Amino acid sequence: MSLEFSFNTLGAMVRVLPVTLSLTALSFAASLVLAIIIAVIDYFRVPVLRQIFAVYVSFFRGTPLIPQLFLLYFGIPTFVASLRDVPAFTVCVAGLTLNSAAYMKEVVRGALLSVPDGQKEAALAHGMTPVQTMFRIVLPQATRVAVPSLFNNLVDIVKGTSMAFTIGVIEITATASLRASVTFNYFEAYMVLMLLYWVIILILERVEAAVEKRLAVGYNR
Amino acid sequence: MLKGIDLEIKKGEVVAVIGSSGTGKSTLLRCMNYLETPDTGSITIGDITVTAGKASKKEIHELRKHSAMIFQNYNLFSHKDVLHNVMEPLITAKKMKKEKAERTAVSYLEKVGMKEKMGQFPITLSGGQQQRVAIARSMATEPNVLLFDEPTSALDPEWVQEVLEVIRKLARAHFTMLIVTHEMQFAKEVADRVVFMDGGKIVEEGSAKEVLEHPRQERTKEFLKLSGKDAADEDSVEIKKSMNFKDMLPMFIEAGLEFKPDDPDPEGLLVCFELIDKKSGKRIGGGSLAKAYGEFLIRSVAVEKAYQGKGLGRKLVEYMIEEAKAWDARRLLLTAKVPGFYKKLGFAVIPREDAPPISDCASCPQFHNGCDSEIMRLEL
Repeated sequence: MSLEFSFNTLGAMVRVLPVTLSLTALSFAASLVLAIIIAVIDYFRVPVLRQIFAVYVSFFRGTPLIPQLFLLYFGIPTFVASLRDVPAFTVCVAGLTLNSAAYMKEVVRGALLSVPDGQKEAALAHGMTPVQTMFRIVLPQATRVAVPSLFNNLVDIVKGTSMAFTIGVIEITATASLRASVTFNYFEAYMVLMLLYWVIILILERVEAAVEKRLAVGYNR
Repeated sequence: MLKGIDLEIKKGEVVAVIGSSGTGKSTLLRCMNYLETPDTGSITIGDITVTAGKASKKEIHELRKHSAMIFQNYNLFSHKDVLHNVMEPLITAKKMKKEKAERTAVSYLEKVGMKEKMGQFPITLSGGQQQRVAIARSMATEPNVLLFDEPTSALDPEWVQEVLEVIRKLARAHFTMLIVTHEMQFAKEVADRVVFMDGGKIVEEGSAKEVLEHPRQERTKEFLKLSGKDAADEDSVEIKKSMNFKDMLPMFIEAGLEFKPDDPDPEGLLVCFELIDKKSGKRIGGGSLAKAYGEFLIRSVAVEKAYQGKGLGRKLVEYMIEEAKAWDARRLLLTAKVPGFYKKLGFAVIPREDAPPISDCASCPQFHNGCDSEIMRLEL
């Protein structure tokens, strides 16, 4: 057990931590937007779009992440030349987004359905448009219900970034693996890696608690 | 399922729609703002007409702007406080500027007596308070017609009167209103016209007196009899005097009066009144009169739930007032949980500071927190 190696590896990982974090942040933001769009289209029963998205959701929930990344990074560019220069980082964000949004869409849809019909009716009965009703009355209330589940999806994305390694993105898992394979200090490398992931997720849990507390305004007697 | 409705309401008219559940009353109301989609026919409010089957989204939106609905379960926006609940339709539908919306909202909240609660969220309010805020929200949009969908049906009896009082005020101010309700007494009092519905059709309509006291159709007569709202009730009860306060204590507690099961008789108890149903001999209500702090006080009034709404409470209080006069009382005081009820009998609210300490509301957690009881006085 080499403590020196552990510290060095930790240092190396912290240097690429921004990669992991930006992969996470960008993918989560994009997924959320996409999930809301799909859920709202579902809610309003928009023809054609609804069916197209249904196929997309089924496909990306029905296949594992690594093959999805491979398909996007290696597979598609064989047909489309212009895509061959897209950096692995971007493809990873795209892949994580498409993957997570498929799951998050259900969370958002469930949250939208959980808002009592009466809220919607009251808004419409006072002359608000369906769009105003959705964004000012339904979505804000749905948010409170969706947050715990969405944080779950966020945690999944954090862990999903570890697969970026498979298409060549150097983030913390990549760094740990590469260093370990050179020095054979597998245990220290992966232990430190796990602890780092754990710390990231513990911090996110604190954030979640704060967000939920904030959203509870107006719901405590 | 509506089977053909033809209804016309004039501006400033108050129309009450009565009938059993499932007869289409709510459906009719909800067609007015297209919350239910009619198959055929047309709806006209003011200057806009919408024809069923050919209604565009824009037309429906325009139609909805001409009315405002008050729902049975209030439907206040739970994520906004009272003030912003009333402001919301003003900002979004009426396109008012924020400052103007706020001022308008505050003035309407004042009209329904909910101005002090404007920073509170709906979950902290009682049903009656929430409904009053809902009424303010609808009033603030100044629609052509106010649609009430059984406004008091979901309320505990103690809050029904405070909401009816607000609606009464609106009627006096000549708002155009369409009220679906079960409260017959109220309909008789407030409505210019009453419409009785059954089986998805209008069976009878006319002035309140015509439909409720002299119904012509068989179905109307049957319905009114089943609701037991006819004057024959006057002779089916009698009022006995006694000193049986202890026996009536459980009934008083159940009616929501502030007594505990092992409370002693009230200080200065003069006489108790028992409302007896002649047919069964059962006690269905009661009250007590006491003299304390140099004043004559009505200490309790209660009518069993099943017998409420028939004017028995009113009869009982009127009897107690006569009794107090027989004791040479100059005036009568009481603590009213439902001030509106006693106002109708001639009582007036007096500020707590001017009244003798006949109740210890200040130490009760519900005071000003769901309970708006007032001290009231009647000069005899």
